[in-house]
Amino acid sequence: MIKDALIILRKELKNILKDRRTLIATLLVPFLLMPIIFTGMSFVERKQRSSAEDTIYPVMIMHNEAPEFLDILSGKLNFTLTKEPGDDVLVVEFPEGYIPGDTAKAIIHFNSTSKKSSFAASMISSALVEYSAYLADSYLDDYGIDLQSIYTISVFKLDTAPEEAQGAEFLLVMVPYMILIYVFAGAMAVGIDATAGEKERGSLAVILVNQVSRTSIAIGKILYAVTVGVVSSCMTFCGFILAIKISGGMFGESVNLSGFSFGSLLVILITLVMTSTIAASIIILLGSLAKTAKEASTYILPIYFIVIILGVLTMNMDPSSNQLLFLIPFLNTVFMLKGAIISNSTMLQLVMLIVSDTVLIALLVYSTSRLYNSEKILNTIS
Amino acid sequence: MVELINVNKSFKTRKGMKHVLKDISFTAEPGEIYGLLGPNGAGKTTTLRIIATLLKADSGEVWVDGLNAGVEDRKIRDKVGLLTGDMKLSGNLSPREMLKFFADLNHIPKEMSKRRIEELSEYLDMNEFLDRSIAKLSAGMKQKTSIAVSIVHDPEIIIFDEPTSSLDVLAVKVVVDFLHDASKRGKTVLLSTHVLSEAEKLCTKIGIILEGELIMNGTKDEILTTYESSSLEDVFFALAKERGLII
Repeated sequence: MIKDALIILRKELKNILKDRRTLIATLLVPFLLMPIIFTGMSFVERKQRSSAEDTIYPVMIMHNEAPEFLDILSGKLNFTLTKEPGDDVLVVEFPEGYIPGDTAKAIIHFNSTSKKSSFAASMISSALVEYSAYLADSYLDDYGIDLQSIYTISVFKLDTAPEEAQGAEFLLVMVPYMILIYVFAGAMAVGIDATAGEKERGSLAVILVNQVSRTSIAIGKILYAVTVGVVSSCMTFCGFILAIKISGGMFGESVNLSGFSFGSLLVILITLVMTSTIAASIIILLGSLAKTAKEASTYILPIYFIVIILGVLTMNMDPSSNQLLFLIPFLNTVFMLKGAIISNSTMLQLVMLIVSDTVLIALLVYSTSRLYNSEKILNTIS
Repeated sequence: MVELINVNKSFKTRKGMKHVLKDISFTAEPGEIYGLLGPNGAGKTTTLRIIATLLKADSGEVWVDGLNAGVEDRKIRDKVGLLTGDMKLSGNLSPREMLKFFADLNHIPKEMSKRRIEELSEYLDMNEFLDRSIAKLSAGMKQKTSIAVSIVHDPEIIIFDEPTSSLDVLAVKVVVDFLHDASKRGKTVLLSTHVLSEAEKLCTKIGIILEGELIMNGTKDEILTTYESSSLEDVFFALAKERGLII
């Protein structure tokens, strides 16, 4: 049976390997999409930051001409003093009659819709905090007290998460979600083409009249969609790793992706294969029920949306309190991938995922096989 | 040889069961081109699909080269080559690769399939485009490839369901020439069509099917004599009028 299924798989793969556009969409796009997006975002972010840093800002300081404040501010921001207010002028307003050392409220006037104005406001704010500390220090100095000695507790946060997980919050949220989307997107185009597309081309009836069992034909088509789904999702994952590597500090300086352990990679691969097989089986079953590719898309899209919504809902969910969540297909994919990224997955969780996913796959393959062995597969031919 | 004896078939529809074939009986001998004529929805395709083992008859008997359909389906598939008019070959494979695929589906050994592909390529004059992508072929070339695909396992029974629908004149000639030659080679050819002139020229035996009933079955001359008519078209319209299908 598998030998016959491989005939179908070989033919479909041969066909796709000769189609440059499909190859680009299946392999190259998932691999390059995230690096391009991340690099673009990182580039724009850096460009905006350096532009904000290099700009000379007109600043108007009201009711305080103390040189100490200007010294501190010049260490943080390029600015020129101005006497006239204007749209692009940042105003630092001290109370009227202010004398350095008084208790006072300083108001910064800035334009929150301008990235540069916001940057300058944050720099002025930081300079004001430093100036305040300077004034307090000078005041205490008169009494022979050091400012640092007043702070009896200094705070330092020590991250106890595994080294590879530190700073990986972004990855934990985004990677499983994106992979889930690509597992479906990758398998959907080829799955629909191999089923409803075959009906539209009128070649299904001819394929059914030969020595290969219909169950083998169904399995061959599922294997084809699985192969493309797995490759597509693996390329997405590799693309993510590449994206994080090349855009580095954009998502936190401490993101540690120097390497996944062999165990983690194996868990990721098993999860991708199981999830792709479910997605492919659903697509092949629904595609086989449809008369046309358009109709097949209509059947599959709601499932696709449910999967996307599941991905969004589980973005910040912690499954550690309820291990039974690992029995729910697609949900377990998200949790398992999160666990594998931070080397936190357990053998029990993996077994639960494999068992529950296998049961669902068996049901879907059985249903598809029944469909191919019944006359319904022909009654639906347009 | 193909023999149908009192074959009935019904389909479940939203409005209940629809009886699409009613006691269909006919025989097609080797060397004959048997044409099933009828309008769309008359039951031609269903009849041919039952012979090709794609569908099962609800009652009656279907014998294909001495094999009982519904019991020995896999053996029958080895004897039957099917081509449908709506089959549109596409994709990036070449005719050679497509033929190899169908040879594999029919479990033809590697060496034999290689030989058979060469034979078919010679026979259907496909050498020039055998390794070209199907997507780049003309309609006639695609039709030759479709024919080759359906007979790659050298079947004794050739079933063509509306093979010339949506084809241009040149591509139609490819089909007509092939069917003539197949009958000369002693193959049993079954053909469904609603193009009466085509059937008149091509078929040695004709069955007219209306609303699931085979209302006329015989050679062209027998039919014309029975209805004292000079053309099949006149006979067909007279029968359709009798049944109230046309005014």
